[in-house]
Amino acid sequence: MDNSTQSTHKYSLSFEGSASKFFEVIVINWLLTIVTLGFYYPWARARKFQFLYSATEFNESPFTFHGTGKEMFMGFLKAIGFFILLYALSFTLIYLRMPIVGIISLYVGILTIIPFAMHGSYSYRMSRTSWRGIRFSYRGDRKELYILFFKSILFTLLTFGFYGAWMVINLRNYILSNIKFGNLKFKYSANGGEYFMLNLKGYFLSIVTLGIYSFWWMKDLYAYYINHLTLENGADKIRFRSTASAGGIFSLILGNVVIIVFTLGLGYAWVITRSFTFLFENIEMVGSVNVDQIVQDYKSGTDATGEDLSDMLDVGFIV
Amino acid sequence: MTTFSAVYYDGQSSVPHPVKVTVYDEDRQLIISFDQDTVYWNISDVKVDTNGRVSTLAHINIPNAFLETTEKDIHILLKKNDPSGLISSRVKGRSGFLKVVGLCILILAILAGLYFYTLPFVAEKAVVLVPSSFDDQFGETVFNSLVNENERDSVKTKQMQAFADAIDFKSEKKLKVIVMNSEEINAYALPDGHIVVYSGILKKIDKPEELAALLSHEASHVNQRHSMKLLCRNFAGFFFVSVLMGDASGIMAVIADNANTLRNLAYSRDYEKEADLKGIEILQSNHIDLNGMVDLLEMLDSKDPGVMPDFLSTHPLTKSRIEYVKRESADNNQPDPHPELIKLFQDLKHTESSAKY
Repeated sequence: MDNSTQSTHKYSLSFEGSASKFFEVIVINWLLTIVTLGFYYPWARARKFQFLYSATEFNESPFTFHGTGKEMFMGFLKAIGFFILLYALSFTLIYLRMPIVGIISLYVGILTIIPFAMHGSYSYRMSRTSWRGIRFSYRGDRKELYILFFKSILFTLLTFGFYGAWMVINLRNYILSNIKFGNLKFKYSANGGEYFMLNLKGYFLSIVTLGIYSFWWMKDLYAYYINHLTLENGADKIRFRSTASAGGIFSLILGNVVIIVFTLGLGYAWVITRSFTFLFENIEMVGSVNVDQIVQDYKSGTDATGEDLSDMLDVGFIV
Repeated sequence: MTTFSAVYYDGQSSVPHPVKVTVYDEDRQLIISFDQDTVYWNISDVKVDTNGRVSTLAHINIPNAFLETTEKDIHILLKKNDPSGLISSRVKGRSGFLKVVGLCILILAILAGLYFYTLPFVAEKAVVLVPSSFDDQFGETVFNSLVNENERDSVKTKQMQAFADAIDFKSEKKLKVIVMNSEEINAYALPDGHIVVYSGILKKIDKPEELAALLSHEASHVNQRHSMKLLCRNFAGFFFVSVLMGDASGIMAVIADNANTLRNLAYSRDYEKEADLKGIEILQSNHIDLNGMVDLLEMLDSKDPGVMPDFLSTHPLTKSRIEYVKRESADNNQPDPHPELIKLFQDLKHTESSAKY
């Protein structure tokens, strides 16, 4: 692979999904979920992911989602079981006239589960994602994530929320830097202070300009996310850069709102495909990694419990 | 026997291997020819996926190895279901999308039927489960927040109560009629049996049977528990919509809520009609002249600016109300003269307003 060093490659990322096909997928998902009183939901999620992954192409090869509805259903059951136990415990404590202990144990329980859900979600999702047969994997350590999470939460509480920006960046740095793509490693190195100033500036300028600046703020947030990411193979690197403009984001959002309002929500599929197309075509990649020579480096992931927990908690896959 | 070109990935690295793939229909096999080598795959072991531009063919027993091709309609070539659609794979030809749209419309129609007909019916039946003490509590709360004591005309209220007591409204609740000083031409009933009549409408009424008709209409709202029914329908409607929308965005919730409100306007028109008809029954059983209802509506009609289109108005257009009320009151058999009502009505009309302003 030495021959690839020094030479510069161009890469492409695109979304090829057809909105009408996606519409079909979500309508059928929706109907089956209603008819089965919600039990189809894990299969619906798997179907949606399969569609969205295969519609996304890197260097003209699609991604594949290998997760199944059955896996997610098992995770779904475990996740529900956990919530039932947690609520049962807290209500028992309240019933036993210890309301404060009951409520605290509920909050602590939910807080404790968040890093578990994040770890499980990344571990599961990455191990079920492939490109040209090469699997992604998440190599983070659950204990390290717990320590990082609780340290960050503690500081955030002590600083009345100001540390929140550092917390987000700490988690992002840790999680994204632990993702591998075959033998390639992702690296994310951002700075909480910069992120804080970015949000502070965005917040105040948006208020002063009655919201107009919010599109520049969103542009900056997206660029901050993308520009600090690299994909590395030893000395070779792929750098990511956002080319999204505030005007582009404005017309994306305006278009999405118009579609949703005038189709009474039926245009959701078009909103999603438009958004993905916009986000992906605005990522520019340059580097010296030869992606035709990635070597499989597989690590099996966890089960889907964390994935389903994070879906229920609405933690969001992307930190 | 068909041949197409593809790229093979072995699952060990991302190195692309250009290959020729031959489809053997008789043996249901794929022959994958490399420069030096040949590999055989059973078509029954192959899983096809496509995003419209690129299709992938994965072997179910060889982890991560697969073929990638831009050849169109691979599933037709391999005689497999179209992987890109659950429904269009089962319907043949290009009409697949149209059929999906048709199915969607059918299902939406069924859901709409549930929402517009079944749901209100069930919700209304569920009203019997709500104890009548709740009506009283709810009515009293609304009454206290709506009625400004300073505008109450205490003398006329007393006279009005005497007038109402002379009529049998077949009501389980004691009706408490209150006259309020306001130029508004309006009257309304609350679920606990309070009936509020504005002095504005009282001025326009000039026959005792008209006033009796007005009170019968409002009493019917109370007797039929219309407020509770509306509340149950509202709640069930909101619940239904939020279940359907699942994790819908805020915009959807607003749309859903407005849709619910728009529909309730139509509902309350049904209730107005029911109150008109039940009101006529009350007049009939009290042997009061049914023309009172017709006169009342004609009076309201002359006051009605008439600019509000039918579908936006909470009351059915007075014109159509007059029509069905006239039809219903055709057998106006022998109304009694009711001297006591005439007397009470004249007292009411000739008393000066007593409200403190």
